[in-house]
Amino acid sequence: MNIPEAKILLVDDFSMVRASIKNILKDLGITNIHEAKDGQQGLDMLAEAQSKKEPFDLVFCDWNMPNMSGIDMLKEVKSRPEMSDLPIVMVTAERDRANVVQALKQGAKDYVVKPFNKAQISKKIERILMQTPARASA
Amino acid sequence: MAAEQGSLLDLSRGDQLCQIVFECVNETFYQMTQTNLRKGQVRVFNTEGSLINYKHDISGIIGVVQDDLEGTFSLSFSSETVFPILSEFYSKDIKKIDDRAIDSVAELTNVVYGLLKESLNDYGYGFKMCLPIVVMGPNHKVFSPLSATKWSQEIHTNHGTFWAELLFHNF
Repeated sequence: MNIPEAKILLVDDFSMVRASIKNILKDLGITNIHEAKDGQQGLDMLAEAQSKKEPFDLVFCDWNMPNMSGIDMLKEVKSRPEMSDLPIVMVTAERDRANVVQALKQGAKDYVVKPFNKAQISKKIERILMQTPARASA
Repeated sequence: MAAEQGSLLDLSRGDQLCQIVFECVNETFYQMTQTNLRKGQVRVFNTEGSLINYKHDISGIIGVVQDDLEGTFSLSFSSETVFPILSEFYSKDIKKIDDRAIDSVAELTNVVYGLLKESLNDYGYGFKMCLPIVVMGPNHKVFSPLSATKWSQEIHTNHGTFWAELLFHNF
């Protein structure tokens, strides 16, 4: 798909992380960016977008969050057939290999360990969105 | 700092510990803002020294714990230093200690601790992730238990100086 047209959801309880990724997305020309503070809010936003037939193209999701963790949100999304293809990139300060394996087993598209830099995030976005089919025009 | 295979780091070696702490803080800042920090003085605080402390305006504090070892890691800033640092992270002017600043210092502490935990665990420790808390207030001090030894690493940025502190007891 055309990268600047992507609709992206950032799910993280820390505004600094959301702001960092948002700045990187803006540098890539992406402006359709939405934010959620925890997994439950993120899930609700994904479901609402899906029901309005305006689905997200990519999600960046923190691991440790209040109300609903990132891994629980990931499992929930992957269990819903209408959203199961949605690419989700897990973002976390937890570097244990077991976490990476768990995330990938649960269907995460990729994994980013904090601290991250612009080049790492940009590369992942470009790689994932290049594989995403172009959005059908309304 | 690469760990020697199978060797536990001697936690009484404050110089090694502070080097690791500095590298973790520097790596975090480098990744997020492409700036390098400069290592300042290391100070050791023990029983009496813990009562003589720097004054800060905002501190992020996180537990450094494994089954048989307890400690704390903290990052402490003055307002003058933290505002331009956070403004750089957000690409927006931050001029007061508000929810966003509190949130950011917590996350910064969390991210640096993630790296520190990994570095120490490379030496054979089993430190776990913990939740950071933030203390704020003009000229506050962060005291440590009298039974603990605290190493304070001064860190210089282009915007001023802040402190990374690590303390352990029972080692």
